[in-house]
Amino acid sequence: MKYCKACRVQVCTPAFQCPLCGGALADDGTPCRPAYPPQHDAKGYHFVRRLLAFASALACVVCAAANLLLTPDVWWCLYVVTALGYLWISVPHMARRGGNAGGKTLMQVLCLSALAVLLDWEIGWRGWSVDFVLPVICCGGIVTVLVLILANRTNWAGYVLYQVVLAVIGFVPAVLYALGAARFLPGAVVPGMLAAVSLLALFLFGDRSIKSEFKRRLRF
Amino acid sequence: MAQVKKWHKLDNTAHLFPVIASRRMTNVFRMTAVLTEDVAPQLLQQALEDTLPLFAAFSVRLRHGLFWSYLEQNDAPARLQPEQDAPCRYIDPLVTGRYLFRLLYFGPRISLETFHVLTDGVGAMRFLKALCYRYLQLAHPGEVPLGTRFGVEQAGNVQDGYIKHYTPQKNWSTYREPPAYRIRGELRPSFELGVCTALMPLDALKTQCAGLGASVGEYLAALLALAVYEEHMPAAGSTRPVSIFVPVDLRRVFGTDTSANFFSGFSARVPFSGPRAPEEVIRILKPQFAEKKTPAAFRDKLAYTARSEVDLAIRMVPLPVKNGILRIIYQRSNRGSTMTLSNLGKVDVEPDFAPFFAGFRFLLGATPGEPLKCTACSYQTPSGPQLALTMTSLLTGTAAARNIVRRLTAAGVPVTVESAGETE
Repeated sequence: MKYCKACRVQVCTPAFQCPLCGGALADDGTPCRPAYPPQHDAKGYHFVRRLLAFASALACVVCAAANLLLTPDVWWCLYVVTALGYLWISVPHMARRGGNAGGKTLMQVLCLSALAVLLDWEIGWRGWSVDFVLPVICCGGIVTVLVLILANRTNWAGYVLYQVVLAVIGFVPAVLYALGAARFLPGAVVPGMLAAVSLLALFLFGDRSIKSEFKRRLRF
Repeated sequence: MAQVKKWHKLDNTAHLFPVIASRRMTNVFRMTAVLTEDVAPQLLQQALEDTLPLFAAFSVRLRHGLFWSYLEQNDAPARLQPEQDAPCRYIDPLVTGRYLFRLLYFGPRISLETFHVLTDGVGAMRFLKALCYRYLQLAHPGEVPLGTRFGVEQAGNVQDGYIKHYTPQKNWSTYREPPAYRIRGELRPSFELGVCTALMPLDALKTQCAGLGASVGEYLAALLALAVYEEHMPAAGSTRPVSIFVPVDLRRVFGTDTSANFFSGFSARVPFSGPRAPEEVIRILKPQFAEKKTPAAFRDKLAYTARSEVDLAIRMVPLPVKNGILRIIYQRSNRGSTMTLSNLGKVDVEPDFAPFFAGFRFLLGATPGEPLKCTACSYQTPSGPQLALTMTSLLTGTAAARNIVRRLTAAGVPVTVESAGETE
């Protein structure tokens, strides 16, 4: 135990100075035990991440400048910005520790679709994104979640909400076709069919745990 | 067939915590049991595995639905950890196997850090005591009763006391407090938390309180208000009063013994326009403690907060929108308090186990808006009841703690200080 004359307190944790006033301590020789371990710096400095962010920003600035000086007629620097934006949104989400694989699939489907539509629009709208790329991405998303469920059947309930959301997205190409925005019929039919199969499988094979999952997720 | 998981909804106050929690504003509090001997980690891990499944409020993970978040049974292994970091750090579910608490050991200390979404101080202390009882059963098989489990009576009860005691009101009064004085200062680096515990004999403190005609709670609130004025305010005072938020356990008020959150509180306000004597501050505080601590006042406040969960129109709003609105409401409403004084009261332990406990500590994580927090809890020691008054601070320096401790020692209350920090 130690004693601070200024504060008139006993100090029972190891200290050179009074923890309250910083004054000198008188020691009576009885041993003190620390109450807390030494605190250490928990905030990391992610140098690589900062370097990558700087390189991306630099690429955007340099491309924009080169674009302006060399080829002011074609705005090709937009493609660079779009691609880098896609990378910065989708890769950190994908690489995040933990997280539901179904949620990551959904995020990729949304990001890739947005990237395709944006690029198509920037290049001069020719419709290849909604005709071909969107259906392929939707099919990919639905099949990925079905594979996840088959591979990890005990945790079906964890994926079920993403399964439903992806199935709903699977009908989007068909809606676009009906509205006249897309012109490639197989691109509308195949994802729609897969989405219907996915929902049917859910209704026919889903058990009590699936029902209970829906109850929880949709409670209001 | 896949297992049907148990789940329960968040209680009425818990909705806020996942929305505002961050590394700076952790909403984590710590309960520590100090034993009389060093902890054996394997036995404590065993105790955790034995006890956790019984506590419905703790064996869960947080998940999000379309309209509300909810807590779902978590079967992942829970791990005991040696204490290495600053107290009350943010609990990252990805690190803890989705659990929203951490169990730590350091020498003879067992610390339970809880994210406030699970439960309040009373609920956490129940879990910690049950863990310690089980640990002591395993560590001292001959000396304490075996066979029976101790401290698990209300472990499975997670009903929402707020909704149970909700009565619709005709006239809605709002509970927005006028802005209070805010303590400013340099923040500690890398989310550290300064901790200073003052241990004192409860009888000496009570004698001092009786001399001033105040209860222990009123006296401690007065000490805090004076410390804020003397150490942080300009000598001329401030137009905004020092407002001390005092949480109150509603289980005692309404008689619903749940293990989820069931607390409310009130703000005790002291305006300063110059120095005030302790007697004067107590005179200002006393009527506020009497008026604001009544069951009727809590019933009104409860009706106001629980209404949002009963109103169909609010219930139908999707969760992300709700969270956005909640964040705005919180930012507007939390300007009403300068600091918090949470008094846990007396911590009782089973008589058979009492010789193994040296004391308890209660730590609240501070926030940039309220960089100082103060807690009190008392317990029985062989030399009489003792009170542990803990100040946690995000600020560098220990001015407020020094002020309080010096005032106590000057009044003749012997104080022993226990601190964490860079002093050695």
